[in-house]
Amino acid sequence: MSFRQAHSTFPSYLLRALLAGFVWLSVNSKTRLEATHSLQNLGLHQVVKVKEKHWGIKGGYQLKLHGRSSPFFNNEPIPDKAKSLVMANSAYLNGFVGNHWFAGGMMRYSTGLSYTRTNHLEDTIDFIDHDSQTAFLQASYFNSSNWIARFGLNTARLVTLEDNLTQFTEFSPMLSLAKVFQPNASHYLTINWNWDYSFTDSPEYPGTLWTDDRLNHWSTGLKLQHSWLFFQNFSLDSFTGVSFHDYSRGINSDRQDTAFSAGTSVEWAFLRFFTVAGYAEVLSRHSTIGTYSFTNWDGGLKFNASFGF
Amino acid sequence: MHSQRLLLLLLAGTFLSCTLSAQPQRVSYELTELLERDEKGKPFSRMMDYTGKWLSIGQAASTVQGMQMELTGPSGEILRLGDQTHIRILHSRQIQIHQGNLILYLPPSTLPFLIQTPTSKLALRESGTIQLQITSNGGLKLVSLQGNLQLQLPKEVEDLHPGKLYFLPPGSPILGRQIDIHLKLVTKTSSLLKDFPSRLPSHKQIRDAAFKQSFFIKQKTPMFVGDAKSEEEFDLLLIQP
Repeated sequence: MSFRQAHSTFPSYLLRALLAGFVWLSVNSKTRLEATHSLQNLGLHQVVKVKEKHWGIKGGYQLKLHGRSSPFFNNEPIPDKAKSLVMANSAYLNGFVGNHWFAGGMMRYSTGLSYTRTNHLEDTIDFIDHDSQTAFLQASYFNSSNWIARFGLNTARLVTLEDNLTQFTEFSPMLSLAKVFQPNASHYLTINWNWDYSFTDSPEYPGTLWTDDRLNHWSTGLKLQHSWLFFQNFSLDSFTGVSFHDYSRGINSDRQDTAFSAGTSVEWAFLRFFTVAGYAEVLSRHSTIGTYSFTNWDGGLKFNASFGF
Repeated sequence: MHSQRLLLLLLAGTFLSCTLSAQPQRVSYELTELLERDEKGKPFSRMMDYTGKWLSIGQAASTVQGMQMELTGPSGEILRLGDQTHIRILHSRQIQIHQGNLILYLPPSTLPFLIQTPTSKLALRESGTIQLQITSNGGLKLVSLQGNLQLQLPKEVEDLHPGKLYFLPPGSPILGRQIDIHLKLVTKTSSLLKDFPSRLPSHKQIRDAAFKQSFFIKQKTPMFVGDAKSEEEFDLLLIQP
């Protein structure tokens, strides 16, 4: 048996057999199909490549180069010497197992770790250069109504490079619930609620309120994300969110923060493994302890290379 | 064009009135829905005029352009006929498809469901939902939508997997080409699935099967499977944006 390919455009092929009624399908935003009776009755039979996959690994490297309006994350005026480009180099490795049918949905278990070195390209503020390491272990449940529930454990560590001092270590059990809407083939809208509690360990100053657990806190947040896939390999991703953080230990015993964030990026995927994006993000934190309030803008470029199987 | 359409609908109505019995007999398929389309192509139900109609052994059902029909069998099986489709009830769980296309829902049963086409005889076992289309070459196109249906042919027994399209060439004792197709798109574009006022009993299972498949789709191609017009070939329609 062999294929016979009809290279004529789809509408002209189908118009010859046009029957009553129409099925309209957006293909690449522009092409519209008028279906024959069998297509209308039975629907469109689009050929797909399917491979059942129950585990996977993805590794990659990311370079971010951006300007930062508030490098010290406070609302103090920034001297000219502190205005510096920020460069962040990251390596990451993620993996998953699962994709098993469970209770009317799909279950997946994932884990990953990342290492990021952040350098300020102006020598005067390179004392805040730092390394951060993160790891996560997560179980995700996807159901056919596009709800996604996740629970797991995140951990992170931040080390300043100048003194090689671990500024904090945290372990955070987390829970999140998301709903994905797909109004058409190229738009995705996700609403995500999350909750976590962070157990932290920071350098202690005995006899003061600077206890080692002063950064312990719980957080909850709501985030709205939109993704628009356009042309062939471009996407416009935007987000906005609000989060609430409640601290209760040591010097932070009466501290509550509310943070608002928003951002957008235009990404181009090329040569299968690479993406490059221009982006801008803003984070505004309002704290009951004034010195922790700030508004920071980041804007720049990021390049990503990843390979998975 | 409008008067032609009215004439066709009138003929179809007369045909249904003549062929559908008012009294259920020993083996009967109940007419559970009859849809027609208005001038804008929007479906509307004609069941008010055909309530309590049954189709018995030996009787045929035909749909004209723009008409769709649902028949419910004695063991809960449901046949949804697309327009320009012609079938005949041969016996309990046994039909003959002369032309057109339909969706068949089979609830769990130990008995096979037998289908005759112009060139083949086949049996479906177990439960599930499947699309069937008589192709221009006289063969059959089958799409499994959900379930664990088993297709029995003279020289082959094949498990039908949801999301797979199968061609049965005319007169062939074995299946021909098998192709993976995008199940979610089928559920979104098939009027036999989405235009009827009531959902198929397997609606959730079809949705789940499409969702499950979406996890494993590596690539969506711009190609769509069309008709099979000759014994060895079928149309593969390429979308050019």
